[in-house]
Amino acid sequence: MGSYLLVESRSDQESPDVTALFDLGTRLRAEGNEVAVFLVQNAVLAMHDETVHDLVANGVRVWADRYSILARGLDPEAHPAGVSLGGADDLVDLLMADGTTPVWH
Amino acid sequence: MALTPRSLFLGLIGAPYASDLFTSALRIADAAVRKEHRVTMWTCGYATALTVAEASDRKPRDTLAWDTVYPSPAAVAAHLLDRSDGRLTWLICRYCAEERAAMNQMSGVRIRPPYEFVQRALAADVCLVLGTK
Amino acid sequence: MGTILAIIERAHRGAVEQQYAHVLWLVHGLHRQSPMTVLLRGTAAVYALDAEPPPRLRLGGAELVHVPDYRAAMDRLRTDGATVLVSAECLDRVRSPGAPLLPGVTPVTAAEIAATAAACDRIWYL
Repeated sequence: MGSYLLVESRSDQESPDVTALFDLGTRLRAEGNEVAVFLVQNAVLAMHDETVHDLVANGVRVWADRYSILARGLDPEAHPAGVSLGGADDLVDLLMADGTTPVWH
Repeated sequence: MALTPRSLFLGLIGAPYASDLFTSALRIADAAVRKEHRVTMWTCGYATALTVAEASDRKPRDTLAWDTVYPSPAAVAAHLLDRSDGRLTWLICRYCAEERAAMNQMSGVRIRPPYEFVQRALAADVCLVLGTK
Repeated sequence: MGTILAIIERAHRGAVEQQYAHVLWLVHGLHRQSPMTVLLRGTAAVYALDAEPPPRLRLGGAELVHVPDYRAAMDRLRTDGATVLVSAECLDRVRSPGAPLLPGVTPVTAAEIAATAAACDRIWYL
């Protein structure tokens, strides 16, 4: 089974394909792969959305970029359960892990 | 999590000044270099114009803060290259640069033919393509 | 001269590239030449939040970059008499319950936006 890192940078207000990427993550996970979704830039605005909640419920590891959250005037401590706060260092560790297929949207 | 240093190819093909894409690419490159990975930053499109030799090391003055110096994107790129201990390589696409009159690049940036994008992306341990053309 | 409705719906267009020269800085400069009514929508609704100062950005071991401070620009707009509105619907998507707004920012409904647009002479997306 594989390992996937899906980095989402956009809000669903910017791109209709955000939900498609989340759906891809859910499907890959359902097939037994390890899947991590890392929210950066405007994607952190979706941190509390049902779509992200569903990712967590479906066994996808979800991260949110602390820097992006703070830059957008949001409260990083208000992140939902199941969403881990991280930064560039965490993103790089996930990215560079052996056997991981990364995707940036 | 300590990882063995590996090679990372960052293909920055989205345009600057449209989102925080360039900022994110720099953050990733910076973090990867600090973790001793070998990073290639490849820019396409208008990102090739960020590192032209004619670019000043500072942004135009802010009329509301006349004496504040704001480093240009070129200056930030030069700083990262300078501080990378040779672990950061900055390449730009010849086709994109030529189309945008950006062929005169600052020291430390190399112009490469467009077919090398895929070659280098596949040769790297990890490849991340950021943004869309 | 009339009033220009400046609609901002895209936020955060390059911390390193823009620094001080972001869309709110531009709109403030334009407002000083011609009266602006500013409407924040979409991801730009976050500009209405009364938030902490922006985070520092460290690259290559140094804090070179002056990250955009949107609060300062919003304050200048208010001080210089610009009307600043934010779509209530868009605000609800980004705002934690009870989170304060910057002074002088007014949430508006879609109907109020339409009425505002009708009262302006020009409508620009910026």
